[in-house]
Amino acid sequence: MSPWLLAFLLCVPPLALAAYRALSGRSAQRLVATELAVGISTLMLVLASFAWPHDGLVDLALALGLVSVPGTLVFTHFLERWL
Amino acid sequence: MRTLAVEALLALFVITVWLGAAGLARLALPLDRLHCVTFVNITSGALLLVAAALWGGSWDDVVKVALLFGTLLIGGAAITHATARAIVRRRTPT
Repeated sequence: MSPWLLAFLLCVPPLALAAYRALSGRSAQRLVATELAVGISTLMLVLASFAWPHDGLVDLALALGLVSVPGTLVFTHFLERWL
Repeated sequence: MRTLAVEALLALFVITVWLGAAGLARLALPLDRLHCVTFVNITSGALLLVAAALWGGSWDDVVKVALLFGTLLIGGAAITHATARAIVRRRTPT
């Protein structure tokens, strides 16, 4: 088994824990858990791109990393003002 | 030798991700949990970048991982600051 695939599989439980925390609790705690889940999933996409050589996977990780920044900033703005 | 180094780096990567998740589960306050997010982003991103550079694949992929790491560094700092500010301002409304 490729070390990249093994690392990918070993990162699934922490991602599941962060996703569970993102779905329960108070809004501030859910936001922080969402940030961790997005970070782990971005890094897992990089692992997947090396485990299964495919053209688009690194681009997908880069896109998720770039899109998550303004998305989270908008969510924090909503959390601060209205939620 | 190079494969062994990559495997060690990936093992450290997995350990840091598990540490971050354990911190998220154990720490009580959202401001404390923010440390876990930053720890995972910075430490795991750096380890992954070095592992990708040592693996010997396409340099395009390594450059993209480096760009992603830069995004995690700069964007992560902005996100952490904005999140902490939102949490503090919600706690003490002006």
